[in-house]
Amino acid sequence: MNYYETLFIVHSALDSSRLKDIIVSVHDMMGSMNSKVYATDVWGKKKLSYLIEKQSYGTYVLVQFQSDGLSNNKIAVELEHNPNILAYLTTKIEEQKLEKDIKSLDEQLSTGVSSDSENISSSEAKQPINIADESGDVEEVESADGSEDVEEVESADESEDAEEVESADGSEDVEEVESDTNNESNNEKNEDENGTN
Amino acid sequence: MALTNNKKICPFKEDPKLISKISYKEPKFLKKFITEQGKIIPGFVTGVSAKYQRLLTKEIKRARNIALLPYVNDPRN
Repeated sequence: MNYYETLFIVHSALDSSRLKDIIVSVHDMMGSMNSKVYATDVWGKKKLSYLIEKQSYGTYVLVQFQSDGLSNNKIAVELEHNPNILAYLTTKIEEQKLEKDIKSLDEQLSTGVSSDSENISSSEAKQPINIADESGDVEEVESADGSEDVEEVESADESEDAEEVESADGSEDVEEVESDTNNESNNEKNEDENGTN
Repeated sequence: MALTNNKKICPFKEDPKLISKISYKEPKFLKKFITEQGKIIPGFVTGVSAKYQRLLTKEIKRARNIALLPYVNDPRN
């Protein structure tokens, strides 16, 4: 017996009672096929990345179950023929990845459906905390390793260094010299003027 | 032409905690490894090692299948 999880998208127009009916029917269907449901996580209403059956929003539901694998095809056929389920994805997971500390279905639906937007914001609010660290790391890596680095190296090696050298050895010194000569010439003029006076 | 030391370091080898985030259930994390158009960025650009690039591509394709990530995206829209 292996562990699997199915993530499916339910039509977002359904209310909480219909949503619960669909989830319970999926549980029953899995139970009838020698599968044991371990956890159900309702992610809530989310925007789809592309239209599915002309819908741009959907309610994501994750069901983790134990099965012998032979009944997965039957489960897939049942999900395929359910008109309220827009899409589904079944993957094999390891026992360690079974989700724990998940609220009961009623609690999730009462909190999730009463305020879908809150549920979305809370689910998204959880992720940025984790991702903020990761994204920073990844962005650093990308910027450090990617094309920008190459540009930096090129510019540092060729143009900027060359400019620095030029500016350090060339123009500034010349200007200093010029300014010195100007001062000297001014002093001479002043002396001359004093002399004449 | 000067030799430059732009050796890339795999982010997953630098921080092994990130490996658990390679999952189709973390589309925000996976977005770091796709372009604005939705294409998967090759490992030689991001520095991800071949081992983890294989996992990443698999999970990105799963996320696309379940509409968590786009197959194609028009950045102008």
